[in-house]
Amino acid sequence: MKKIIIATLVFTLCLVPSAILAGEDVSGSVTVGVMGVDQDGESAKFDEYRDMDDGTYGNVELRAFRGRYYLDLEALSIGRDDQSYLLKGGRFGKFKYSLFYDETPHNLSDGSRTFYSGAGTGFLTNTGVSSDPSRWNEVDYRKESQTYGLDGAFSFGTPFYIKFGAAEKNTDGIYPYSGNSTFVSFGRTTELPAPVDWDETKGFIETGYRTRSLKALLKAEFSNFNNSNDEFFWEDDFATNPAILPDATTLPPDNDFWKLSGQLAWKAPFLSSSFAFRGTYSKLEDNQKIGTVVADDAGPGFTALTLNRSDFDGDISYATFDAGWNMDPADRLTLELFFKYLDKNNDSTIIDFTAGGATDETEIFDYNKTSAGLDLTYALPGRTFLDGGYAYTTVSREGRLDNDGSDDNLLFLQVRSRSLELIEMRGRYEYLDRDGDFSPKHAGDSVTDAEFIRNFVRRFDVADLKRQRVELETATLVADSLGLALEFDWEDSDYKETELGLTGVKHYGLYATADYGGSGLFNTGIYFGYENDETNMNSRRYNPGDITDPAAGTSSSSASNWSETKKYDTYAFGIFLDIPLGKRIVCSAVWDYSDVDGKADFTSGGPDLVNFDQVDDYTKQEFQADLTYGFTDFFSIKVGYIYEKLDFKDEQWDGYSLMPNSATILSGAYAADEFEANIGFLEAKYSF
Amino acid sequence: MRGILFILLCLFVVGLPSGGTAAGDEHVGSEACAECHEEVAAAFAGTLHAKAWSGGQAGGCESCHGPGGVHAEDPSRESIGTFGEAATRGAAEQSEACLGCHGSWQELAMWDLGRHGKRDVTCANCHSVHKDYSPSAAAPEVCYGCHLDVRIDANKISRHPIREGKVGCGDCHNPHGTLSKHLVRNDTVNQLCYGCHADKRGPYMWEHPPVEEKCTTCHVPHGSRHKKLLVQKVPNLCQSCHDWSRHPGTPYDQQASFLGQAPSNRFFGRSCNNCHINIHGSMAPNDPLNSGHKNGQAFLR
Repeated sequence: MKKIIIATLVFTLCLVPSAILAGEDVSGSVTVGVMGVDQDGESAKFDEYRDMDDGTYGNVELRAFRGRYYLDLEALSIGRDDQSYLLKGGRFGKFKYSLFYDETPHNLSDGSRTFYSGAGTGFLTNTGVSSDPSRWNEVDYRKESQTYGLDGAFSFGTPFYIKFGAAEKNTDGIYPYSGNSTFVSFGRTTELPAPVDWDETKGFIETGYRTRSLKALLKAEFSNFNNSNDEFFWEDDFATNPAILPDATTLPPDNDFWKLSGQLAWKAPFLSSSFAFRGTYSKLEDNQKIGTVVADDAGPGFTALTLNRSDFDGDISYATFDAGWNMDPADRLTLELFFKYLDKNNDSTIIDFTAGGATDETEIFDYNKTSAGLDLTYALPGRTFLDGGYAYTTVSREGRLDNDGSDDNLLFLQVRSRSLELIEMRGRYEYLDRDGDFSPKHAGDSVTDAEFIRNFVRRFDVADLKRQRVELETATLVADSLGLALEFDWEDSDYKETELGLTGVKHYGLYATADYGGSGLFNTGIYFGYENDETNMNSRRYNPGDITDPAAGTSSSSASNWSETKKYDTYAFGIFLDIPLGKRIVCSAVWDYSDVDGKADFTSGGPDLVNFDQVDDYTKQEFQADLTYGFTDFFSIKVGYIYEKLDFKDEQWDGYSLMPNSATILSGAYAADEFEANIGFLEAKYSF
Repeated sequence: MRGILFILLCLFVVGLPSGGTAAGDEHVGSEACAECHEEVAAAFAGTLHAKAWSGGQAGGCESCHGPGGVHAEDPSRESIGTFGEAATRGAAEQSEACLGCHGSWQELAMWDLGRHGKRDVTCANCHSVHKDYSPSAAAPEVCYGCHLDVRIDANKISRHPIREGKVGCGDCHNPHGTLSKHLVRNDTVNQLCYGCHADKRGPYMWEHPPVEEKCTTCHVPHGSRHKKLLVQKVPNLCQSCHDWSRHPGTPYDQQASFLGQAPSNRFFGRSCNNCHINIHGSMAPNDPLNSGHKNGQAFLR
C-alpha cells in the first residue's frame, strides 16, 4: 500500500504543470531550503521528534478546483526522517477521500554503548568485554514509525453516508530495556538494547444518517498489532557461565482488537432538548506460549516450572453506555442530565506456576464504573451565568489486593460573566470527595509478617481523597487589537486516610498572555506562566522480621518511618514579534524560555537522610529570528537563525557512569539530555 | 372616470411591497460588501468556503452575516451580524450562522452536550473563514488562547510531538463535543491512548491494575517535567503505592546517587526501571519458590 500511496502523490504532482497551462484553478507553493546545524551535546534530545540535520529540505502545497471537485496536496519535510504527505480530494457535498504517509522519529539516546553484539535483534550475545567499555559497541536508542493509509466518505447529497479507512503503522528501532540478574545474589542488573519491530494494521467502516435534528451512526473497527519478537534473549554477564542458556525478557504481545459502536443524537421538539446516546462493545485478544523456566541462582541453571497449560489466552472485553439529555426546562435555565457505564470483563486464562510443591497463580483484574449527575446553568441578568453540577461515580474492582471499589462525589460551582463590555470573567470551585473501599488481602497475621504492611499502604489511585480546585480567569479585548488574559488555578489533594503512601499533592499556577495585532504596524504576543507543585509521601523502611506497623515508630536500626516532600517551581515565558517593513519585507522573531527548579526534603525516624536540591532541574531556550523578502507577489526568500539550548541537572543522573558499582552495567540510555544548537537556514518559496 | 381609475391603479401598484422585503431583510449581494470591505473580500476569495460556494450556491457574505440592507445605509457594527470577541450578538446566534449549513455534520452531533457548546464558545472563537485557505482551527495555537496551562505543559521537557505537528489537539479531543470527560474522542482514556500505543494494550498474563484502569494515573499527556510524561519522578511514583521489606520501602536520598557515598541502582538513572522494566504488564513466568524470581508478577521480565 505504501508504494501505491507514494506513486499517487508523485503522479498528482506531475499533473500540475499541464493543469496550470490548461488554465485550471490551481494554486499552491513550492519551498526549497537549506540548513546548517552546529550542535553540541545530546543530539537525540535535540532531534527527539524531528530531523534537523544539515542539508536541504522542501515543502509543497497544492490546491486545485474544477467546478465542485477539489484536490489538496501537502508535502512537508520531503526526503527527511520526519517527512509527511497528505492528499485530499473529493466533490463538495458528495464524497471525499484522503491518502496519507507520515514518518515520525522518536530519538532517545545517541552514542550509547553496550558489550552485547546483536543489538536490535532477538538475541544479545555477550562479547565477554563487559569490564572494558572502550571495547563496547555503539548503539543508538530510537524508534521510527511509518504510517500510511487512506480513508473515504460518501454521501451523494443525501442524509445517509458511509465512511471507511485503513492504515498500516510500522515501527522499528532499539529501545532500552533492563535485565536484573537472577543467577547470582539479588540486585544485579544490566541495561539491554531490545528490538522494536512492530506492525499494526487497522481499519474501520462507519455508516450513518445525519440531519440537523437527528444523527445516528454504526461503526466497526479493528486493529491487529504484531510484534516480530515475543521476547528477546540475552546472555547474563553476572552468571557464572553466561552462555549456558540465555535468559529471556518478554516483549509486548501480539494482539487483535475489534470494536462495535453505535451513537444517536436527537434534537427533540420540546424543552429545547438534545438527547445523546452511545454504546460500544470491544474485545481484545491474544495468545502466547509461556516460558517454562526461570533462571536459578543456586546453579547456574534454571528452575523448571510445571504449568496448568502451555499457552496464555488473553481475552478482555469492554462494554460502555453513555447517555445525556440537555434541556431548557424553564426560562433562563439549562439542565443536563448524564449517565455513564463501563464494564471491563477479563476472561483471560489463569496460569498456575508450580515448582517444589509451591504454586503462584496469575491475577486478573476486572472493574466496572457507573457515573451519573447533572450540570445546571442559570442565566442571570447582564450576560452573567451561574453554573453548578454534581456527579456521583462508583467503581467496583475485582483482582486488586488492596481495594474493592470507591465512591466519588464531585461538586462544582462556577460564575462567568461578560457584563462588562469586552471583559470576560470566570470563577470556578470544584470539590471531590472519594471514599475508597480499603480492604487489604493477604495482609499477614503478625505485626512482624512482611505482608502486614498492606494494612497501612493506600495506593493513591483508589485511596480516600478530598480534593479542592479553584480556577479564576479574566480576559479582555481592548480597541479590537489588544487581547489580555489572566488565569490562576489552585488545587489541593488530601489523601486523608493514608498512613503510608502519597499523602498530599498541592498545585497552583498563574498564567498571563497579551496579544496585539491588526494595526498593520506589527503583531506581537507574550505569555507568562508560573507553577508551584508539591507532593508529600510517607513510607516505612523495614527488613524481614522487623515490626511493620508505622505506629510502632522506630523499632530497630533497620526499621523506621520516613517521609519525603518534593517541590517544584516552573517558570515559562515567551514572546513573538512580526514587523512588516514596507510591502516586501517581514521580520519575525520568537523566543520561548522555561525553567524548572525542584528539590527533595526528607524527614527520618531512623538514620539521617540527605536532601537533594536538583530534581529534574532544567532550563530550556528556543529563539528564532528570520527575515522574508518578497521579490514579487509569487517569489520570496527567507533567511533565518535558530538557537536552542537545554540544560538539565538531576541528582539521579549527574555523574552518570556505565559501571557505577559492581551490581550494575548500564549503556547510557537517557544519560545526557543537554544540548546547545545554532542553526542557519535559507529558503526560497514560489507561489502560483 | 377613466382618469380616476388610472390614478387609483397607480396608487395601488406603488403601494405594493417592492422586492417583498423591508430594509432590514434586504440582501445587497457580496459585491456590495466588497465595495467597503475590499481586503476581506479579496482574502475570502482564496478560501475553501469561497471555492465551495462557487457556481451560484448559497448567498456569499450574507449567508453568515445576515442581510446587509440596513448595514449598507448605516455601516455600524450593530447593523450587521458580527462574530468573535467584539460580536454584538450572543453565542448561540453566532454559531447558528455556521450550524445552518454544518449542523448536520456527524462531528457536531454532541455540540449541545459538550463543554464548549455549553459554555458559550462559538465557532468563530476557533475558526476563521476569511483569512486562511482552510477554515480548520489552527491548533494548537488557537487552543492555547484559552488553555494557557496546556501551552506551558506542551513545551515541557517530556512531551508528545505537538510542536512538531505529529500530534494535534484534535487527535485526542473532539472540541465539538463528546459524551466523554474532557472532550476525549474515545469512550475511555485507555482506548484513546492504545490508538497510537497498541504495544501497551496487552492482554497481559500479569496485569498492573492502575495501568489497566487509567493511563493518566501515572502519565500527564500534555507534557511533564519528569521523563516519560510521568506525573511524578521514579522512584517516588512507585513508592507512592509500593512499600515492602527491604528495597521498596527504602528511602533513596542523595547518598544513593551516582556521586553519592552508596550508589544504588534502585535510585540512580532509571531507578526502579533498572530492574522492573515491563511496568505496563508482563508475559513472563514466575518461580513460586524464590521471592526474588517473581519475574512476571514483579514485572522484571
